[in-house]
Amino acid sequence: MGNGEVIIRMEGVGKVFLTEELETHALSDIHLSIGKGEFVSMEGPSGSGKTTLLSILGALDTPSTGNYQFAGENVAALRARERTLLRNQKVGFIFQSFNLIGDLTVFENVELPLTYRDMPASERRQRVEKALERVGMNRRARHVPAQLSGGQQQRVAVARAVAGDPLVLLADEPTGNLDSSNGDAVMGLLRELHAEGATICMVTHNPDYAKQASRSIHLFDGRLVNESGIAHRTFPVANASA
Amino acid sequence: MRDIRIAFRQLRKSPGFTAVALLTLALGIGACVAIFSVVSSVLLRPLPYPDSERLVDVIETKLPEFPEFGVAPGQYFAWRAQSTSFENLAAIRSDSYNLTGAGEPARVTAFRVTANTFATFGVRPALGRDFSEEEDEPGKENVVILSHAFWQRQFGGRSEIVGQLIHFDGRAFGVIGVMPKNFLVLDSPSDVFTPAAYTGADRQNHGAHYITTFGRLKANVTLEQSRAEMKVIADRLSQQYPDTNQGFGVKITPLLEAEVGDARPMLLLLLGAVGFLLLIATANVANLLLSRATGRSKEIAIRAALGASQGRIVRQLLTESIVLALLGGFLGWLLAQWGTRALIAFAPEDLPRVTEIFVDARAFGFAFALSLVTGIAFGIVPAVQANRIDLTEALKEGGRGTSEGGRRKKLRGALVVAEIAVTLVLLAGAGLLIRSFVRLQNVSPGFEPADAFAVEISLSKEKYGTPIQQAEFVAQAKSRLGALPGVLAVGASQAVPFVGGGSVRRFKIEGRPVTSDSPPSAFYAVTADYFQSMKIPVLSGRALQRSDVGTSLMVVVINESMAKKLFADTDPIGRRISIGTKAEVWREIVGVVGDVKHFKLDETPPLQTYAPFDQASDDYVVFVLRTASAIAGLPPAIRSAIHAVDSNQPIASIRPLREWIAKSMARQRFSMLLFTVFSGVAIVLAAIGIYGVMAYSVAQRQGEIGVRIALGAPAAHVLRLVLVQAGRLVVLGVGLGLLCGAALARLLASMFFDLTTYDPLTLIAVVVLLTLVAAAASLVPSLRAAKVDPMIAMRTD
Repeated sequence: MGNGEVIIRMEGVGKVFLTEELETHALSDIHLSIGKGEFVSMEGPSGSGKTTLLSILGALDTPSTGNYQFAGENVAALRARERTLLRNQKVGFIFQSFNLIGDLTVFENVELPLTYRDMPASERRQRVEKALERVGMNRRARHVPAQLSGGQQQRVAVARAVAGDPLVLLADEPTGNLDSSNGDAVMGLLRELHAEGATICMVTHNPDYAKQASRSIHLFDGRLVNESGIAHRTFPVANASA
Repeated sequence: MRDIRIAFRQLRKSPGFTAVALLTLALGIGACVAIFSVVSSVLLRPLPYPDSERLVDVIETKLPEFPEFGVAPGQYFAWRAQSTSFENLAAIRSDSYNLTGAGEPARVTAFRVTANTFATFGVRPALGRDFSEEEDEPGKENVVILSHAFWQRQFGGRSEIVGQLIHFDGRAFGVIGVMPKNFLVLDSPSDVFTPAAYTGADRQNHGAHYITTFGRLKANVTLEQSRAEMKVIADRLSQQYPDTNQGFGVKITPLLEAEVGDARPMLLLLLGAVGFLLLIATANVANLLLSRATGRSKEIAIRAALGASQGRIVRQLLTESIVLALLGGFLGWLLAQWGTRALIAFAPEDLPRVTEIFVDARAFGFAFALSLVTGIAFGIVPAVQANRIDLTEALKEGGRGTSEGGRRKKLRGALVVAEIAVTLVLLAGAGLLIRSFVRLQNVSPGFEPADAFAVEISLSKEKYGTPIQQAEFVAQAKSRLGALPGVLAVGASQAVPFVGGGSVRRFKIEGRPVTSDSPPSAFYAVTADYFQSMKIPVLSGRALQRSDVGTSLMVVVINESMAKKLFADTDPIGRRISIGTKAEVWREIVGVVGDVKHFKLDETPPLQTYAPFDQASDDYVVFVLRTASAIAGLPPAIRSAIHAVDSNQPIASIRPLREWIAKSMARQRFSMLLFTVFSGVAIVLAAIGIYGVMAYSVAQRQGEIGVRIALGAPAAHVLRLVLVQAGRLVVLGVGLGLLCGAALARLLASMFFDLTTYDPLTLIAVVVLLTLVAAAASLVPSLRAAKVDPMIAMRTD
């Protein structure tokens, strides 16, 4: 369901981890483009580099080699502060273990990325309420994560990811810690978001969920080995401010 | 506000952490604020007089041996006449009266003051009026101004007392005023003030240095200008009165400095010591925060992933640490209120301005600033460290979000090393002070203070105005005191070491010229059995005898130092000296006795001369009673014996000689006590620090230890593994501490008695103590490590 604009473009991206004795190639020669509105799933065995790739995609980490452009910006050239800004304004994260902050209420968790934008309180409130309503958690706004089930926590995490209207949602095994019904519910949410135009990149081990994506890529030993769904193609680069 | 809210939430979430951190901070900050309150009140706060910065202390000097010397009244009046620097120049001298006719006879402490004394301070009586110049003349001086405390105590604060007569030594004095509450002259309490009323002869006396002078500089005169002017005047007086003034100069010091200057090194040393304590507390809390930061690394990673900048994360964590520090600081401030009261209770009697010590707004500001700085100090490292988290790793499911990185581990180790080092420095300081104090206690004062009582009496000038009357009273009192059961000997003197009295007098040796550098000697008028009652050894010749009376041969006994210094190669017995600057009265030296310390055990005994009491009596007398050991109920018996001689004679004090000597060591004892308390707290904090690091380390290494045990490592091996880790920290800390301790030892050696910069016994004792404490603190985590269940441990890895 891409509309032709490329949000993510990777060319020859590699990631090497250096330890005292060892040089580990976590990713090698990755070429990847993701267009606006795409729903891409990433599959691969443990240690294949999925999470590393997702971290680089979300600017949590930087590639050791190659070129990575996010919405027209060369991520490798960005300083830590600029990458922080990019994460805050253009990326929404959904983690396998939800990663909600236990001390904050549901409302505060969803509000958190918006507070880092120094957004006025009234606008924050509006966006948080909308996001919580979107995932059906608005009646739990005053609860803390420990008072919620796993499925509810992941819905809150989805609300937090979408509250800031990011360009891309990055989901790292979002159903990995959920039972099948809650997993289905979260996947349903992601599908709805995709249907509404969201660009989603999701790591999953579950082939059924992978099939729900519009495109699926496979990693093995740090390399992109297979791609199904929409054929690999080059998209025109989107406007950086898009 | 949001950060502050979160900070409070964090504190509530971990009550154990919060309690330990707050208690540690309260101890560190509280001790600092308490000592700062003393330093601030004593050293920093202006004296409680208007424009007090213009008040100066003016004293004489006779360099090099006497950098400070009492002022002769002739000098004072000459300065007053010739100087232009002072708005007022006043003189006081201490005195005492026996108050009669107002209930029980009581000894009343007094200052004889010139009429301009209160005007010099810029203070007026709260009730009544000040002295007039006319009342400051001989024969017109029977007026008195009461101190506020005496007025309350003796007259119940009745204002009608002003205008009435009260009786001192049988003479009537008209009460003309009452001074304001807490008014002190030169920080010395006094019951009453009477005019000095110097006679014409006094005004010409340039040789007897017994008064204290101070002045108020004119508004446009600087200290340097006044010093320059007074130097010219002193030189002129030296030329004018060469017999008495040669070599004398004038020293002008701001009054605040003169009052508190000698307490400054001790107070600053104590402030430094509590500073060390705060460092240890800060390191401990930093360590706690580092541990907690490890536990919170996932939360920090989430925040970073969601777009929190490094600055934002540092800001939030710093807010948390500052909130913690401010709460700790507030508790510390409360603790300081109590601590300051305890300090005042234990403070040496001669600590200046002790009545002005309280925790004031400046101390509150200090506590606030200290908390802020401390909060930043212990928060900044964990806050900066928090930004070094590997986000990818921390955000992973089951990622190492809760494990500790190598850098953080090293940092925690370094903090413990620093804590051990600082603790060692404090312990070494306390050890050295204890050694110095013990050595000081073992110094012989030159007499035997055990089993001896000193009875201080000021005889009524009216009733005992002549030497004969004084000698008669002393003889009768001695006789009655000597008859008391258990009393072995009774002596009397107008000056007894560590108790009071005494004067320094110039003397001439027959046949030798007097030079300007001839040293003066301390003078004692004593009864024949004084040496026996004090147990001062007679080294050659004889002691004074009962037959040495006013009409017999004028004799004197000198001390060993005087004999050696002035008669090194000849026998002093039979030589004659004249004591004092008045008419020549030649006294034959009949004996040499051992040296006696007069004010402090660590002083070099001065030259000393002893004349028979009958030949140089005084209205101030101290009886010394040598007793059999363990005499119970002696003071009441002493009181009865004195009152049997004269029922109206007040007794100023009855105290064992040991107490007087102990009083002379009060400052050393105070410093030692506080250093010991601080080092005790320090060692507890260091033990907590070591325990915390080792316990956390064992918790972190549970998996590794589990694997070792699974592979067959015996418990002793695991125990050794942990103890060796702690041992490394201790060795590093001790090494660093010894280096820093050397610097402190040099400082202490310059301040305290008989200390060397290198005292191996103290250092070994301190190192052993610290090592034992560290071993004890590490033992529990070590034993816990040895009991790790390999199955559980490996599952939790």
